[in-house]
Amino acid sequence: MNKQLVAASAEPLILALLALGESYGYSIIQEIRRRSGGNLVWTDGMLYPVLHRLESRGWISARWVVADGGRKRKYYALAKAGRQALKEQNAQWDAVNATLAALRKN
Amino acid sequence: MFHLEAEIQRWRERTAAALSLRADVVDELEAHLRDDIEQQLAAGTEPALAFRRAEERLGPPDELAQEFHKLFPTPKIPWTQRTMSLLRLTTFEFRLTLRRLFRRRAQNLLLLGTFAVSIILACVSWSLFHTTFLGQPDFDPEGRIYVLAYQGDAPAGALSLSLAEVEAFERGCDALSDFSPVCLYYSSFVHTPRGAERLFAAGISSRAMNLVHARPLLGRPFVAEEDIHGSARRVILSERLWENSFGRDPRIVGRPFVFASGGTATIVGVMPRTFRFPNDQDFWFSYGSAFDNPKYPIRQVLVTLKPGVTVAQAEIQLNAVLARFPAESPVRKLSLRAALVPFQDYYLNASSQVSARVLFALSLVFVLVSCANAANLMLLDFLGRRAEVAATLALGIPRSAAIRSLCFQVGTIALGAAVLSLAILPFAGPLLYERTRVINTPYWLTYHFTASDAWMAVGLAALSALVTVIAPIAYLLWADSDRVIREHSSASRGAGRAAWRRSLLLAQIALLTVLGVSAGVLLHTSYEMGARRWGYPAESIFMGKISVAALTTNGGDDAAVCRTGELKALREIEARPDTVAAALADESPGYSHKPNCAYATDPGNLSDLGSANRAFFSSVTENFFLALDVPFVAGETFSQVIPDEGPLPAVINESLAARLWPGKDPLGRTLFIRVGVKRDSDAPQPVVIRGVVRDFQASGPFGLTNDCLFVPFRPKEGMGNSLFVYVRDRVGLPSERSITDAVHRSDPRASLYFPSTVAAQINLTLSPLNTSRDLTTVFLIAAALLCAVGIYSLTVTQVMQSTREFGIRMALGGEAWRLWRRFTRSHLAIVLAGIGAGLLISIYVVRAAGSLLYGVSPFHAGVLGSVAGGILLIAALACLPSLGRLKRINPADCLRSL
Repeated sequence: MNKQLVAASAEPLILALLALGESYGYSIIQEIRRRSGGNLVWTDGMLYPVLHRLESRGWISARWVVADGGRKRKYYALAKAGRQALKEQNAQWDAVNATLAALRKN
Repeated sequence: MFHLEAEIQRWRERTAAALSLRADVVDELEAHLRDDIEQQLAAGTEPALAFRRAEERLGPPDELAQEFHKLFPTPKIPWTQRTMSLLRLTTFEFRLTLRRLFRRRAQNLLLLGTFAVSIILACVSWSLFHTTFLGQPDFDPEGRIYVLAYQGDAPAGALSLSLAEVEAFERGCDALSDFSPVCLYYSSFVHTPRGAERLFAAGISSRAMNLVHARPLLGRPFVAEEDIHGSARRVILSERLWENSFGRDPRIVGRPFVFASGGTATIVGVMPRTFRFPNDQDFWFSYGSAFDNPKYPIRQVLVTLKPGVTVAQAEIQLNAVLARFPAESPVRKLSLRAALVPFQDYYLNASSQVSARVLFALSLVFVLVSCANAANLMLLDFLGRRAEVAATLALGIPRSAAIRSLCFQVGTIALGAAVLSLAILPFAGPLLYERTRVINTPYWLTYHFTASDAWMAVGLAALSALVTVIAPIAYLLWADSDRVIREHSSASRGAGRAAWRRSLLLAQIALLTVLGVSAGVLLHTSYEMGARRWGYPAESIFMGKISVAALTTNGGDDAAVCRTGELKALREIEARPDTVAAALADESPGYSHKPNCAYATDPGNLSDLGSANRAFFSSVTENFFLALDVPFVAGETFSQVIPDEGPLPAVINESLAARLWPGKDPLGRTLFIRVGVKRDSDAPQPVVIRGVVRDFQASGPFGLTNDCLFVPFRPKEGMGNSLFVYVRDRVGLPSERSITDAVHRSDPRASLYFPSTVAAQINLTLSPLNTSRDLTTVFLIAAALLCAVGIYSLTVTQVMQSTREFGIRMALGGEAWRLWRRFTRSHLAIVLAGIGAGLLISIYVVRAAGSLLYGVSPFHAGVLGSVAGGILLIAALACLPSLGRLKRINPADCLRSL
């Protein structure tokens, strides 16, 4: 898939996924891959700058959790501002989708 | 073998370094990496593959860093804040470094010492090398002037040009732009207000004066008319002579300058003190007034080349001119060739050039060896703190921080060495330099501590530091911290046994051996030539030369006038109230002579002797032996009143008498001699033995034989217009003033010159030997220091790397000192190999210096034994600190680590 499209879709996808419940980096990547049927493949490392950007905007919150094996993981959850941002982004993507669909019919 | 944890650790270090201080981000990325690897392992993937895949998916740390920097741009910090932070960091590191250095103060002082010694030696050697090969006299700063003279196998006196030859070269060679004839070496006896003096002069043409930019302080330079052969003699005084002998008389120009031989010249000027041509001359005379005797040529020519002409092209032209000289001319007979030699090379002693090269090469070796030793000690320091270093790295402290700390350590030591060198150089430099000077060393070969020396010392310290840190930095970059922690043993166990350490040590010991043997044989030679062997109290015997040339009508050899004048001067000296004895001699102890007389008891054997049966011969006055305080073992000295005809009475030394007439009384026996360069066809001269003296060093410290034969002066044979005079007083050394006064009392035209003592003359003769001995000793001390550092670091390293092995052995009942003895044995093998290699090299080195040796074989068992013993002692002492470390090993700790 086009790199620019992948980059542009990263934020709404992460927000949408976190709307389903809190998660951590590795799990987010696996989930996106599974749900896209393998069509959306991110360079794993690139996820984290996006997560940190969303966190700095206040759209998501983060906390460190110690797992059973003693390993630490950073969990992210959707914040209130994030829900609002998700709505706006969904609306934008719907508009893009509708326009594209109309053009295809013609 | 793949270690997953270690790989993750390394990945973390790389990422942390790329992402600067964002440890939380690194933690998060590591968690991701581990999750990914865990998943793959669960699916049955090999750990190495799993790690590689996970690493690839996360992407290169640099790209990650770029993304994060876009997200969190680094705020711009004002320069004042940055400078302050840097200052704080530097101060902190510096204090930390000082503490660390203090903890190992003995080792670091050793390091500082080796650095400082190497820097000082290198600075002085470079300065000598630089001035020897690149230094130029003030009058020729660009090195344009060449000296036209002859080259070939001939005595030094035959290498100058006669007037006709100078003119022929000038006419026949058009490749030269300046052609300025001179007489570079000339000495004269001159009457000054202080009395008769022997002065050094040079003949200089007006063209040469222009060439060397001579500008008089008073009066005028020479003019073209004064270059014409036979023109009236004019002289220009040096400021020093004007001041010392004429009291800076402002009306000196136009006054007569009186030669002791009776001739006079007119003083036309005074040259300033800054004008030193060709060296420190007392005065200059007009070139046109120089005498011309083809048998004794005294001329040289200063030339410069025309643009585009090479030295080789000019020499071809000059030799074409030479080929047209008559076949019977001395130059053609001796097969000499005309050569253009750069002025500086012409004036420099060949041995100075060799010593400059050797010194420079040696000092470079020393700098390199000291750097290698310093690097070794630094590595040793790391090995000592290996657990600390490994733990620091494992905790995620960037390796750059450890490298920075190392650079601070080495930098501080190098800075200390530079400061120490700068403090010592102004004193040690001239001292070392002075020792390399030999007679007639040109004035521009001097040492002045300048800013460039300071910069060089600092530069060398920086360079040494740079070379030193290379190996420790490599260790830090490649040290496997995980392995160090896991095994709790050295990260580079093999490094201590590395071939380079052993090779370095072997080379150092070989170098030390060579220097030790060289210094040993030179010291032994000095001892052999010491006062003990002279056979006379050389320090308290005055020695000088008396010239009565001025008494003769032509300034030459008028035998009767000379003899009368010389004996009159001698009687005046003897009449001094304190004189024990005074004597004259035409050849003198103190200088080094080749044996100048062949002898045989049968006159028929004299021509077949070759170099055997040769002795030092001199004509002397009757009190010669009393003046030198050499006692008679048989007979007595001769009387000065001797018949004109018949055999001369002679005095010989004890050993010669015993060899010629073993077990018999030598007195009254006849010996046949042939003196000097007389041909075999000359009739042998009979002498009758009148006395036998105890052996003494008659033919000088470097004389090939100590056998000697003395006869009185023959009344009608020329005594020469100058003779050596020896005076011994009742108390102490006779003063020069009193002897000079006595000589002037005999005749004001007679002069005394080269006032000295026999000891001073011997020391002057020995100066090349003493120079070599002192320099070799300095380098020997430095080499011993380096070797001690090398052996110390190697043995201590070995103990540190084999801690566990030694611990277990000690736990099993092994005693520390036994273990130490066992492992030092392996070092002994290296030391012995080094000594062996060094001895082999010394054979060639000492042979090359053979001309300086006297009374000692290059393979003197005592010297070789002492050197080997000394090195073994140094090795044993340098090994001792490792015993202390071995004793501190705790066997329980070692057992626990198993």
